Amino acid sequence: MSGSMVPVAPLDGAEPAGHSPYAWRRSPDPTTASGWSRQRLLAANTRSVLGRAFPRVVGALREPSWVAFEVGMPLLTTSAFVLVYRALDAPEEYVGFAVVGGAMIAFWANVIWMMAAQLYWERSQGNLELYFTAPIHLMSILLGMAIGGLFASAIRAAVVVATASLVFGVEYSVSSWAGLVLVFLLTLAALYGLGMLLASLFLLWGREAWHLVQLLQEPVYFLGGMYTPIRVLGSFAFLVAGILPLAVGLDAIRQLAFAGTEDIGLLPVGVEAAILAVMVVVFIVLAYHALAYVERLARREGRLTVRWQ
Amino acid sequence: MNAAVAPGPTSPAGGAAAGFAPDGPFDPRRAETRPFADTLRSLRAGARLGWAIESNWSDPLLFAIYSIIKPLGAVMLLVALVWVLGAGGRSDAIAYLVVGSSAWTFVGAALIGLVQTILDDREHYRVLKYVVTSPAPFLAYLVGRAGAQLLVATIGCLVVLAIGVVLLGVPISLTAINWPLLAVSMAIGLVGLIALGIGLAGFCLQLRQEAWSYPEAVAGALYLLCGAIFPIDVLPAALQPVCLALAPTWWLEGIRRALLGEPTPGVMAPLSDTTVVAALAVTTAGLVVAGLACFRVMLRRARDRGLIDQLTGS
Repeated sequence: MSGSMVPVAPLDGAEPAGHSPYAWRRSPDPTTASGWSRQRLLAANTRSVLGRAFPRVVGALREPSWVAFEVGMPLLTTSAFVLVYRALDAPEEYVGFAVVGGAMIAFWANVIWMMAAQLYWERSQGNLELYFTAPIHLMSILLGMAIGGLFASAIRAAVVVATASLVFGVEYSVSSWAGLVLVFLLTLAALYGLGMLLASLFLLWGREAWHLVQLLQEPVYFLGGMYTPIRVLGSFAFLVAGILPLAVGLDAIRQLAFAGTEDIGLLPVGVEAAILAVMVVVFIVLAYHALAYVERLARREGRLTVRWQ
Repeated sequence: MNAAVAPGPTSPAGGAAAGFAPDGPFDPRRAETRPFADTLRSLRAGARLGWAIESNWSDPLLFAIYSIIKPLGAVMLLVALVWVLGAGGRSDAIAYLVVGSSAWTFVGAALIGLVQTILDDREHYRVLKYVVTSPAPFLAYLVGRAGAQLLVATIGCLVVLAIGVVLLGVPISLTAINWPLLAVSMAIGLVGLIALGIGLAGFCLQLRQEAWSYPEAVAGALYLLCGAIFPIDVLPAALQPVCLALAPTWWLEGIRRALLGEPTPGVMAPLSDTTVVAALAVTTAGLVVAGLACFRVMLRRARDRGLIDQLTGS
């Protein structure tokens, strides 16, 4: 698209209707129909990212009650697993594993509840039609959700790690801070890429979304090694590591945060970081195409935006 | 009740036809004149509706998979803790975790399910106002909805136990199960859980934000305090009296004794089965009284303040 207005196809051979917003124009999507310049589209998409992130950031700061639940509940669950380890006389580093896993649940919960299932709920609230008819890309909406969600989840995870570490006396021995930060960021990017992909799939699967979210909790906590190193899954762990960014990311984070526990890890940290980098690209590309497909389907059938489907 | 209301076909003066009268005037006294039949009908309707919503009108096979995988994932999550420590030979620990975790599906169904029922009806389907203002007994309707959730939980629980026995070697034998103890513990325990869920549902009607999270918080706290996945002896001594005052602690102990044939080591070990059942009955009675009282007070408050049809957008 050039910087000028997009050519407008005339209807039934009639004269072009000019650029009146009220004229009917044959166009594949609202972005083309808007006739906006590239700069204006970029600005609109940027505003969409910020606009969608805004309520999540502000909501997290404005509603103090969330602290009690968002922090308290993972702490309760993590405490339960720590106490099981204590009841089984487990070595102390396992307590640390459980605490780190408990903190990462904040991000996973955010991805499945506030990314994957979000478009489905947006439909129930009547927002989805607005997204589909606005001259923006749906990826910018999802990116806004991810940024806003990341903010709230990061606070939650930090508080869980700090509190649980204090209460249970967890000691960390980080072998490489740079590596830890890199792996952590790659894990988050892959996780939210997966969330974007799931968002479009959940929309297609309709009412099954609720069940799918349920399925993506405890079974994924088990397969993703939230409270135990995934090595416990044996050779099946390699398959999980190839699909689930949480599993491979958490394994690498644990190896880096607790030096000397590399023998418990599934793969060397470098390999796991490379897997995560590939996942980031694959999930985002897949999400892009899946969202484009969903958008096309929504316009052609007009069914995806109907409530209660 | 207004005495001037014309007698309807289901009132004593209006005949004995059951159900809604298509040609007669509305009679708000119907629920009072046939309390048992109306209660039963509300219970049945609630259960049928609950089942339809729970199964989400999905393919039965698909729904069965959903119902099984979640509790199975929960129990495997715990069993992995034993495996990773190379303590696979500790069948006592695995049995403890499997039984506790499988039974916990009922807690999720009764607490989280009931609160979601009432909030979904208000916020999502927006029918709570119609249900509450209809002459049908609301409490019976809610218990019916809980029944459907408990049915789903039963399936998950049984499958997890079966897998525990077949694949993980949990020592449960059908011939060795103490069936009377199991039946009594389960019956009393479920009454207590439903009562707790109903009280919580009434409370959550009052809330503006985070109402959905309260049952999970309560269930999470109970998970920690009731010996669901570790003996209560592991907890600090100051918390143990609190654990013993909670009905689910005794409910789980009763189930474990019935299924595994032996008491939990620690503070529970010296107690007899009769003591466990008596403690369960007493704590459940307290829970029922508190739960129902809370529900009635909260429902009255919700009516007074117009919270029945409030949309919080949460």
